Amino acid sequence: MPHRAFFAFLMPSLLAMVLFILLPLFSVGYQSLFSPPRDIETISEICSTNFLTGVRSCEQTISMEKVEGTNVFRGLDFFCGRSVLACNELATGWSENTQGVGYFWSKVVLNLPLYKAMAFTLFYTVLTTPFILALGLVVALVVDNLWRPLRGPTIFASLLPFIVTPLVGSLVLFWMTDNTGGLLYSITNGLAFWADDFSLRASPQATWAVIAVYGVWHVTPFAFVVFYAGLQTVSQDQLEAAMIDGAPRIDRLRYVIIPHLMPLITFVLLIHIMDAFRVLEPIFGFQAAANAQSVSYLIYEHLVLQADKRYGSAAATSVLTIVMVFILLFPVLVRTWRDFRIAAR
Amino acid sequence: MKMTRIALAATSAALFSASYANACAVDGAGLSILSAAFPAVEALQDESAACGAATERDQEHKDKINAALAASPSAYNAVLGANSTFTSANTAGLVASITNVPGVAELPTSMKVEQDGEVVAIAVGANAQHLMVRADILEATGMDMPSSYEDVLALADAAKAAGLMEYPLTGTYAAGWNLGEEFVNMWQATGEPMFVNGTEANIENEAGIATLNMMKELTSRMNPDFLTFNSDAVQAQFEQGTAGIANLWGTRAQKVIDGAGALGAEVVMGSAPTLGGGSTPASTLWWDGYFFAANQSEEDLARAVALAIDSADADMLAKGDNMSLFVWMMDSYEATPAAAGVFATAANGVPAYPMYSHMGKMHTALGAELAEFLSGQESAEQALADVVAAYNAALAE
Repeated sequence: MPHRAFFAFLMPSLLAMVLFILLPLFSVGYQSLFSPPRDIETISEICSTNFLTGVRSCEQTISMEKVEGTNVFRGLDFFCGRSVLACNELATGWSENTQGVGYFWSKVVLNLPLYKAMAFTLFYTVLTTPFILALGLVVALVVDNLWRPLRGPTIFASLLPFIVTPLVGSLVLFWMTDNTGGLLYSITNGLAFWADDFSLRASPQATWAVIAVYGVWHVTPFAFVVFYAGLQTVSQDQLEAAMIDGAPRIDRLRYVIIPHLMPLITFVLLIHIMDAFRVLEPIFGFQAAANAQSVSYLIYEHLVLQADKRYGSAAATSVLTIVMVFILLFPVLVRTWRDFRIAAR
Repeated sequence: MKMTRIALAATSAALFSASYANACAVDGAGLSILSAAFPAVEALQDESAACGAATERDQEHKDKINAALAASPSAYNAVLGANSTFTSANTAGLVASITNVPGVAELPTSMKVEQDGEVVAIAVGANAQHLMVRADILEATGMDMPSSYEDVLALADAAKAAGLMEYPLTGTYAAGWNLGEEFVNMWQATGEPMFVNGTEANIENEAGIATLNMMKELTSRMNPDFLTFNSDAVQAQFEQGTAGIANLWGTRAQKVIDGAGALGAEVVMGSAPTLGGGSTPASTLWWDGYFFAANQSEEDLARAVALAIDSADADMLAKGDNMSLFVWMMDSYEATPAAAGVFATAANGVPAYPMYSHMGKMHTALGAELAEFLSGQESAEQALADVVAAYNAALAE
């Protein structure tokens, strides 16, 4: 296809991407640097009466009067605030620290909301990804080798965790971790801990592990169905040739099937890293906010849980999320680009 | 758009006025009221709907109040909210003064919420967290209904020692809003002011440490999952018989009585306990009620107020089990057994939940930063310092 025709075909979708993806991204970045002008504060007294004793209680409160006007440039104020990068807190923590880097890391850095959230989000992303890829491949291979009439029902059953709404799925698993007889609780306690006060919900470590297990359970079917589709296109000639050459099953997997699936593995990897970094629902499903907060949860907290919306911190956190996703995706993108260049040559 | 809305309202008004003609003293056609969706407020909304008003019931209503009232004219004429949502809307200057609206002056004093001498809201019901204890725990241990948190600890230990339950004590300690509320409740019992010099936080002191230490003492006797317990979970533990002592919301009292009753147990309702020899109950008094949009015509405002007053009348209380749904503030209300705890707590002089504009920021900071102390990862001093830092960050924004 000539380049011109190619671009003509691509133009509408490029335009839509600029309009709906690129512009909002820049808009969030731009907005994170500004805030509306400060409201004028007036003090007033507000009173209510105890319905039974008739005692009247009053307290001073502040009313805000909206000021009309253009937004004020705040620069990196929001990025440096305690809720986001916490520049000042880190600087004072470092200068006052006398107990070494480990202490600084665990008591100062991980005590700040964004870094705490970042730690959990990275843990979730890094831990679930290999399990999802490996388990997805194993399930796909098993299903592919099943007796044909059994395949349909098996595929349906294996897809179920992915079909169930995340909030419902995590709630089901949350109930299974109940320490008054939940199934998952009973199994883990019975096999490993034998402790009366054992709980899968009380410590950060246990909560993180349970959410990661949920993540693997929820996303593995996605990897499975992609890999299963890929397995249907593996060249039978190549496989037969390998068999005639005497290659055992494991070598056929290693040298024929996996190289064939490689583009799909990259695809699943990309999608899952992006998804995992936005993890939010399980934190609600598992009531886990005490022990595990993700970056998306922080944004939700700024925008919804706060009585007064904190658009500045939310926008700054969003920008950092986008930057982090790019950093995480970078190696994969570079690899894809290199493969593309080699193929083009 | 506006035309269709008016047409719709007119049709529904016509439909309703046909069937409820004599029950309505006020024509609610064209008015709209936003509310939460629990049974007590739904009973009020049903009254207004019967008079032709459009009623929107939404458990997440707090997220849209300010945006809706900021429109001109406001998207709703009235909001059936609570002191927390009122404070947020009032701080933003979106609430109308109703002092001179006909009918307001005649309301009982406790129903009038005032700002600088002007009536700004009509309270209709009261709610507070108070003590609920299963009667069989008191009998088996031979102890009286606790009046202080020190007694609560002793009762919980005795109940466990008697082998009644593994974790007899429970509470709404879920990280987030619930945990923040538990701190505020406990703090009130110390009698210290939470803020000094206007908005400066005043919790990094002995009272703050005492508050946190009592919370730690209590939670160390609870099921280790306590940081996930919201009101639903606490109610469920009463229904399952896995817990029998809690400081829980008055609006849950009837359900706890019913739930424990299904297991053959009775529940005693009492005042919220005191702390450290003080006399103030460790709880806060909340009100639910109406406030009205500033952005509306005087004529609409007068009709909306009349409709609100009319919805909370003796007729409403007489219908079905409406009387037991709430601790109503109307003169025609007669207390049901489930209301005993809120009454006892109010009689002991429980303070109202603070209606400062900056209270919301403190509450959020408390809910987010105290969990690590209760799970033993942080000292009380560090937790309080974190709360103040988070609060100051929110204040600066």
